[in-house]
Amino acid sequence: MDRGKILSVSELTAHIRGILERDRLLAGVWVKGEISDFKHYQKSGHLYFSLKEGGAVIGCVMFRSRARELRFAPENGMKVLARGYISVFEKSGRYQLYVEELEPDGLGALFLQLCQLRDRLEREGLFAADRKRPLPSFVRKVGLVTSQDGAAFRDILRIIRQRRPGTEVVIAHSAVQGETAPAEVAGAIKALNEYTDVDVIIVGRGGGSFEDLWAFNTEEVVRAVYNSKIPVISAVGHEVDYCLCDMAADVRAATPTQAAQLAVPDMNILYRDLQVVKERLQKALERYITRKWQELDYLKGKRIWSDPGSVILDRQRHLADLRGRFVRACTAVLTAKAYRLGSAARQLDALGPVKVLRRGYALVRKLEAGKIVKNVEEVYIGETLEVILGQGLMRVTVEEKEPGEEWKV
Amino acid sequence: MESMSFEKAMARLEEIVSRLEEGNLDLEETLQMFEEGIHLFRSCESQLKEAEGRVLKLTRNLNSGWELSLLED
Repeated sequence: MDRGKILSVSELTAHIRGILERDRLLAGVWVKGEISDFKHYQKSGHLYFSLKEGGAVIGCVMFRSRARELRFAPENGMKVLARGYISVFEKSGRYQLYVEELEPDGLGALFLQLCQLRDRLEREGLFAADRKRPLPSFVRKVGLVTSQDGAAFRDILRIIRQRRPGTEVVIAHSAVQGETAPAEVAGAIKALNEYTDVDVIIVGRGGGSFEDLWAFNTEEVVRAVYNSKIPVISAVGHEVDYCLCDMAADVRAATPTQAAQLAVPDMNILYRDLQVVKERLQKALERYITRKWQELDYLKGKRIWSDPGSVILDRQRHLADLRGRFVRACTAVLTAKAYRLGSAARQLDALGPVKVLRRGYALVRKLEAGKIVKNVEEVYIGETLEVILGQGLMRVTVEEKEPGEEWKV
Repeated sequence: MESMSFEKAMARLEEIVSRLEEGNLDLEETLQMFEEGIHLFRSCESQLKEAEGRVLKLTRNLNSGWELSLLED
């Protein structure tokens, strides 16, 4: 017998698992049944139970990360709706439902319908994170889609007035519960888009029962939110209430009050930011000017700018200096010459008659023309002559003459 | 410039401040930028201070269009 290909147990199990996990229906299925064999492992936090219905049973596991989001306590005998995928737990060789969501079946068809709608819209991309728009940081006009008579409207108005009194508010009144609510809410969102220039739209209402909030779980409202060209903040009910409108909106606010806080910035904070920017602006200019002054001062340091006279003074000093040097140089030359002149004078002095006179000789001059008498023949008896001595002079009269030869030494 | 949105004005103001803080513009540009900055600042400030604060109501009229009216408190 041809045994064909022989598989190991784990290969076979992996193969079966692969088949189950590739099946589209089994990858995300809603199952209706009754809980039995419920076990909650405290350590791991995982839930283990079976779902029974009509004689059939399927093992279920709900991991802690999912179990944490449960809004009720499952127990044996409880009728539930479970959503999850089918796979194989290899260690026991059993297929089981890996539960991702669990709801009591009491809400029945309505709840199932909601979940199915949500899944469908999600697949269509209406809740995609990448299409969420950021809220404008400065909002002048806020559009409101809520009941004009509701607490939500009053809360939102109060907060807006606190944070920025100048904000304009446009309310598109609509019923927020009852038969006509979905069409009114959707119509109001559309109208705000078409007829006003509000910067942001808040869609919401105060708390209420699951049924009260129903309008915000309708396809009509979700599509209107999705199609809004103006960013939408969804604020339906309280913190714990989630709805499809929240998922389609750009931002989900826990409450209408919080929505108003998200939509309208606190003027005081904006004002403070603005002042900070202004200070920076002024400082930047001051610093710039200071720096330019410094650059200028540096250039000024080249004294000509700060004290143009100094340059002339410098020239003058230089000139004076040159003149001084010139004068000194000239003086030196002149002094040398003067010295030589002096010595020449001394020589002259030594050769001249003055020294001789000082030694006791005398010089005799005729009165007329001061002619010096060298020969006795030049004078006559009785002539008055002038005699120059080493000190002083005198007049004498010739009494007698005795001619002679020229003195020979 | 008056019609510039607060956000745009604020963004431009930030840009101007950064450029001024870098400080490598010439004097004329610097003064121009400073002047523009002060202008933007005033524009932002007046936008913050403007206090209309009206509450309008958008209602469907008889011709199944929509119309805005002042909502009296």
